[in-house]
Amino acid sequence: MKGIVFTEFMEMVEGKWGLDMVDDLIDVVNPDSGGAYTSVGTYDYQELVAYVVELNKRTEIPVSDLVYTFGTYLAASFASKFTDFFNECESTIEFLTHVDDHIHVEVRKLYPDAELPKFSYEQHSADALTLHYESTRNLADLAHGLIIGCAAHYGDKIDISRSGEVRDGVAYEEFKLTRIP
Amino acid sequence: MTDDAPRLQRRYEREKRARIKAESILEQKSRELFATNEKLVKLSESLEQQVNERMQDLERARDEALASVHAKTQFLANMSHEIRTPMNGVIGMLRVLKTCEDKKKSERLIDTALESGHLLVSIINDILEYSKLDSVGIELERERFDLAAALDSVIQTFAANAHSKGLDLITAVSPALPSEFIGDATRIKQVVGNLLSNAVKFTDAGEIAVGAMRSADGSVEIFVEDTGIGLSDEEQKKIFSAFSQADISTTRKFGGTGLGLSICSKIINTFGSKICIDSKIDRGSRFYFHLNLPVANERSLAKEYQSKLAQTAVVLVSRSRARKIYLQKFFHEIGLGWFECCEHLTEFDPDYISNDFNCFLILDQDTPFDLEQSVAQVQKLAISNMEIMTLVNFENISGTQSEFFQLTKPLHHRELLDKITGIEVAEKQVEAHVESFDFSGKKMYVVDDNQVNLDVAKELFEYAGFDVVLGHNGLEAVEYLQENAVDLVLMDIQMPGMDGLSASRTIRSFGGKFLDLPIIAMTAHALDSDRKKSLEAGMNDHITKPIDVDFALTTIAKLLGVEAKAKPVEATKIHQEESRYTTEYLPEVEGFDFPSALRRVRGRELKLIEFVLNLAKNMADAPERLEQFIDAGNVGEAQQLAHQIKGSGANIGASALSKAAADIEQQFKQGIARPDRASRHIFHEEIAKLLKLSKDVEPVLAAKNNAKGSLSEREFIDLLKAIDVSLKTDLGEAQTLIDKLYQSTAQTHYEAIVSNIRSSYDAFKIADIHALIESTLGGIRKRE
Repeated sequence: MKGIVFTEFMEMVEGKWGLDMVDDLIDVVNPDSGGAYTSVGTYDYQELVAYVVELNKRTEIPVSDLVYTFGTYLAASFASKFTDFFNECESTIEFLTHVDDHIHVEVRKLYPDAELPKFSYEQHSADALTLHYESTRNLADLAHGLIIGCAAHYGDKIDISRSGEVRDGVAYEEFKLTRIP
Repeated sequence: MTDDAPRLQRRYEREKRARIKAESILEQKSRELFATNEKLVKLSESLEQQVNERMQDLERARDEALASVHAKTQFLANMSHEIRTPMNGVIGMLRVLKTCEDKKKSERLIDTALESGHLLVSIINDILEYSKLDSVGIELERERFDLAAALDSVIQTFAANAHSKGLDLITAVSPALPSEFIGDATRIKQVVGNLLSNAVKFTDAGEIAVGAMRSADGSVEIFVEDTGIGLSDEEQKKIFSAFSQADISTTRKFGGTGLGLSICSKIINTFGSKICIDSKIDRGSRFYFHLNLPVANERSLAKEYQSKLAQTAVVLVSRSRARKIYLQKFFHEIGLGWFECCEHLTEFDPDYISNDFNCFLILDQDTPFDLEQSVAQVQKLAISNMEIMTLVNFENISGTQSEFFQLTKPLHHRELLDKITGIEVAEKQVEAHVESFDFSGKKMYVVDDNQVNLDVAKELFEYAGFDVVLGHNGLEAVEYLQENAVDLVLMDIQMPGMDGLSASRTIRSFGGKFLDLPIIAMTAHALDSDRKKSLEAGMNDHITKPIDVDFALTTIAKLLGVEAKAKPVEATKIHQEESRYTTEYLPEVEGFDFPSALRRVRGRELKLIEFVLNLAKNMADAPERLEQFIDAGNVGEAQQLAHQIKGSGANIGASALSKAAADIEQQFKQGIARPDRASRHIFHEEIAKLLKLSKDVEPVLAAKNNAKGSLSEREFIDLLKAIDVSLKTDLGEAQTLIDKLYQSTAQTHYEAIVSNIRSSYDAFKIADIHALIESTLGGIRKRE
């Protein structure tokens, strides 16, 4: 998984629970990477899972909530770090329709081996979109949070209904998005 | 804080590691980027180079195309100049003629117009020939021919032109050259004619020699050399390319299309050889090429005369260096007892020559003035045991009242040899090969789907002693041969049902005695590739239809191991023998060659008439049948019909019909389902001619009259006189008479004279024809 996810996660933990919480998580999880994350590196996804589990133990916030919250945090962080991408679009729905063929292309430029989730969508109208998420990592909650974070960035009010399943270790999640005017 | 210290320490370590990791990643990425960038730079460079190379290729192609266009434009410019000049001649003369009332003057105008017209045609022919060679290529014929005679005939054609420029034309054919080869004589004559025409064109003084000799490797070298303007190295390099003469000013000065040599070069390349040049500016040129031609007859002048010349001495007085060199070589090869040459008669001392020799003195005379001088000198020498001959341009014979025997230039070697050996042409045995072999007791099986061909073969081979059995197709042949023993099989190739090739393969497949059974292919396909096919099918040899009697009998005799009864006749005598056969009843019709057909039936004209009638009867509806087959899309039948008529037409002497049928057959072979209207039209016309002819001669057969005749000397003289008269009164009539004369003297000893008359007529040199006739008549009177 891309290093930026780890550094942002640590930023979020530090911001919400303090620097000591970061140290505690690293001490307990004791990852192979030693917790020395850099945004341009690539690290084992399981390390992130372990942090979330540990964080859940310590804060008693459910894992899905934690992941979701991290999604909203990540979206806001991306919005400030990669403003160009966000500026190209005017709404959440428009942005989401560009994720697969635009942003992921940008990622692959530098990291041709990056393993990225697949997004596909059906746009029913300017305000209605069905987004299909497909990934070996069960991070639908993260995606959900990211969508919400995006909506916050664009100031959209979005109604989301989710349904999903896991087949052969691959998570398929469907997000039905409706923009509420 | 103490608790915090190790934690801070770890945090610090972690951050440091993250930084180092990030730096290393960045370092690696930057290297990757650099490498990728390098690759891109190289790629773009190589692309640029590729683009440059392609640009250069394109530029080269463009330049070549431009050069080719330029050459063609230049060619067109020359061409239009060349065409316009004679065209102006035609139009200008006609315009003047419109208002001209003086008969003599208008005749001259017409002559010039005609001459210009002829020139125009020859230019256009050149262009057509060239483009034809370029697109279709050449397929060489395989036929027996006399190379020396072929060269002689070309030389004769140019003699008048050369002599009128004051050039000496020398025939330099080695006496050791075999009398007959197999190859494409027409193409060889075309090339030599072209080279010779150039030699005459580009030589203002001196001599031109045309000759042939056998090289050490068995090939034949044919050459044309002159003492003309010569060619620089640069010019030699490009002289064979199309559209280019040595330089453009050449075109202006000498005319011509610049295609001739290019055409020649293509032809000789097809023979598997090339034309070479030895030349220096102002020192003359020698064009030569080597051909690998199979020998059909090993006899040669040298073999024929060798034993007869040991006691003969010849002294040549000539100013021509080439003539001296060549004749010296000639006489050496032929085994002459003594040869001497000198430039002036005064240099000659007759005492050197032993009295045992028969001595001949040849005076090479350029002008009558020289002759008078020489005669005086000869008289001074007081030579008693020596016969004197003069060598004179044939055009000058008439004006010379000479007490000596006159040889004509270009020199006919046989004439000279006959003279010095004392054998008169007329006295020589006129005996055909037919009588030279005896095949009595031998059984021959002839298979052909064409009745006329079978009839001819039966006539011919029964006479030679064969017991001839006939068959009509391949299957019949295979069946017959399984049950009956024969000595020889003559097999047509193209037959319905089982063709000759399959039949031969089948027969060979029986093994045993069938492996040794002599089978000869007999076909109208004269090409080399056809011969190969026959041999591959297991046949022993290949003869072409119409059957050349001598060749067929010689081939058969060789296969059967039959020896000739008498000494074979010389090649040239064969032609004389042929000329014995002239027709009494069959009229001369354009497109028919009855004399040669008569030969195949040994002069029995009634038999030939019978064949003609048969063919006419069988083929009366051939044009309709052909059209029906074509309309019905039945190419196979149509082609078969054309093939049949090609063969039987040739056999009975209907050469134009045979040719028309051959044209049509050829088109079918090329996959054309409907041969062009022109060839079909000719075919129809020729059949109509055949029908009319058969109607005309039918009563003859009924009358059963069996008299025979030939163009007598009397008739020949009368015809010449008539031509001479009509030259002054009616040129059209003259042309008709000359054509008649030409046809009735083909392959007789009059042929050379008549052919000169004809070529002079073609060049509209009326005065020359008159001179020729005068001299010929003079010659005959003198003999009498």
